[in-house]
Amino acid sequence: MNLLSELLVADLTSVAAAWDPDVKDNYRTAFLADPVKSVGYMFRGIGALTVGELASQRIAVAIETADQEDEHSCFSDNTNADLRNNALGVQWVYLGTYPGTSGPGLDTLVQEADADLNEKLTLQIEASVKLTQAYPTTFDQMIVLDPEPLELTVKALEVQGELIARAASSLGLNVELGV
Amino acid sequence: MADHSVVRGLVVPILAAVVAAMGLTAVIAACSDGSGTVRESPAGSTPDAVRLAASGGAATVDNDGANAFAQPTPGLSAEQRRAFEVGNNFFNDNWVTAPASTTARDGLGPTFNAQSCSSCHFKDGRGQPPTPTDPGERGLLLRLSVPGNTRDGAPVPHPNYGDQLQDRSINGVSAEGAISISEREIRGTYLDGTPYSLMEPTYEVDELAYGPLGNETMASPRIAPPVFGVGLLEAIPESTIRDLAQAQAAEKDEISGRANMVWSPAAQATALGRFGWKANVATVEEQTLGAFLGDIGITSTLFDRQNCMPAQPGCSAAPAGGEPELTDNKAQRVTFYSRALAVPERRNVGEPQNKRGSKVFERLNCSACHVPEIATGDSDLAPLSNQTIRPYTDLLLHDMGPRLADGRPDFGADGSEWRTPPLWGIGLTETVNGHTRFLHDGRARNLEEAILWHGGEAAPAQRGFIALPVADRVALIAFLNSL
Repeated sequence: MNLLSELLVADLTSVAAAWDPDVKDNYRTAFLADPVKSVGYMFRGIGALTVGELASQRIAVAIETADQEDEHSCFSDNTNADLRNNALGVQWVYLGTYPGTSGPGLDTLVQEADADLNEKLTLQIEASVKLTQAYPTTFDQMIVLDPEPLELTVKALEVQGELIARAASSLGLNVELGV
Repeated sequence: MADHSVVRGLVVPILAAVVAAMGLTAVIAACSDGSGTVRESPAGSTPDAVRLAASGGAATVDNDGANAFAQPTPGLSAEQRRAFEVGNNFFNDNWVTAPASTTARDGLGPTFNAQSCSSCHFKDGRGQPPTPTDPGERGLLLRLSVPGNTRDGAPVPHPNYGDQLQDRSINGVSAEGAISISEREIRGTYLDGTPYSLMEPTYEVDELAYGPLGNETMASPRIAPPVFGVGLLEAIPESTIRDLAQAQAAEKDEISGRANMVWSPAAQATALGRFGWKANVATVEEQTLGAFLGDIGITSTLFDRQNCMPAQPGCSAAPAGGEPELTDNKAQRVTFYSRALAVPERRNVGEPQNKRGSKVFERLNCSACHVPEIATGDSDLAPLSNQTIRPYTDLLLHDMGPRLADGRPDFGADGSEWRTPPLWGIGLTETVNGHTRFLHDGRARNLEEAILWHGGEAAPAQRGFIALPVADRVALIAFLNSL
């Protein structure tokens, strides 16, 4: 546990340093140097997490196999929380919010390009988040007994992925949804 | 909200730049292929350049990175997309010995060459021969047979080893043997005096566990080829392939390709072979499930018998991972995945060097077999239907001469015939797979050597290559690398 905690602290420290405005030539510097490319990365990130990772590898495969081994966190049994936080992460990036702070998000840009699309995507992300917050039981129980709540999540995420691709496209960006 | 101003400072330049980029949106969207993929064509690109770049028609992706061969074709429905991702999972994940707690993925072997599709077709790309320092699971295997044909016209499997040497096995069962490769250098010179060197491999099998192979046994080394684009090749009408053979026969030159007619176990009929180094398999499904059984030891409904010859009782006695081990559902998903893998877009079509190389390619008549452009017919997968594609193959068998011959017939293919392999995406091999080993057993260490190995029907083209001035040789390679 000590070793794992040290690793966790080291990883988080490196992320903080990568974004620290007082550190020179870090990831933040590169990120700001080419904003169009960086916004593309942000769309790519939420698109791939939505479809390739969350809907497909983390949920659909497990529904398909109904095998606990395909559960994302099969050892810690933490999968419900993983899914919830993955869905929330997409929302935070899109809306530019994070507990304790908020600013312009990708939604600000999409609103300019296509207000109707922005509303649809914002609502869809909200719907996906709600689905991941309302599971009646644990992931391994659902895939074996009744995967319907997970099926609904996959469908919602697939719609969300298409909307993310369209939102990126409305800004002239091409985004892939795969892993 | 102490750092609110910092956040604003971060975002405002992004906004400004993206809004500026949005001014260009209309221009960029005009080049869109309508499938949601935006192609940012370089300045001065012509409609012709766009056509030349779209190697897979609508099933083309603008990706030249490490995952260039692993992309789904644009335009899949959400349901197809999901099938693709589930198939992707079963293509990549390792199989384990049965019985295991991971019941969806047990049943490896008993004898096998690889634990997953992706260990040889890494990132859906090309395998390479083993080296003394890295001997395992790189994508080379030996097909085995003894003289004659089965009643389906297939090669006759070796009585003790079957039709493929499985060089690995689960605990308690002996692997069939180990491949050892020795190499001999062949030196030559281009007409301009520049020397070249080729490495000719010879294969031996050591550590034979089930008796001698016998003098009659024929062995054919095969490297794992790239997987992407096979759905498009499957959608080429049979008549197109036959017409190509007829047109080649009518020309007064050495080139005269033949279609391989093979047994299709799914159709229970003879069919035109398209896949494998000798075009010995008719469909993507048969190729996929055949590889699951032959390479990983995973049974399916189509190939439901374990790979255990009578001389291998330990193999027959080993527990299975299900009946079959790959359920029909998963079999469909992995087959769909392979069919739906898109073709990467060609790069730098308009560069003078590549244009020059393209002309050399035509002039040397490489394009007689590596046919640049073909139309697909109807496919149940919409983005593959009726597309103009640029695969650089005719899917026909050609006599490639004694130096490349494996001496092992395979259905209609004789011991010196090989199917023209597609060249699309070949220039991304190094990016995706980290090597440049080409030809059926990966003997060529780069594209130049691959050309130099050509013989038989391709001997005039090879002689033409040797006679080229260096600038044309360089241009030809640059052209191939742009594919």
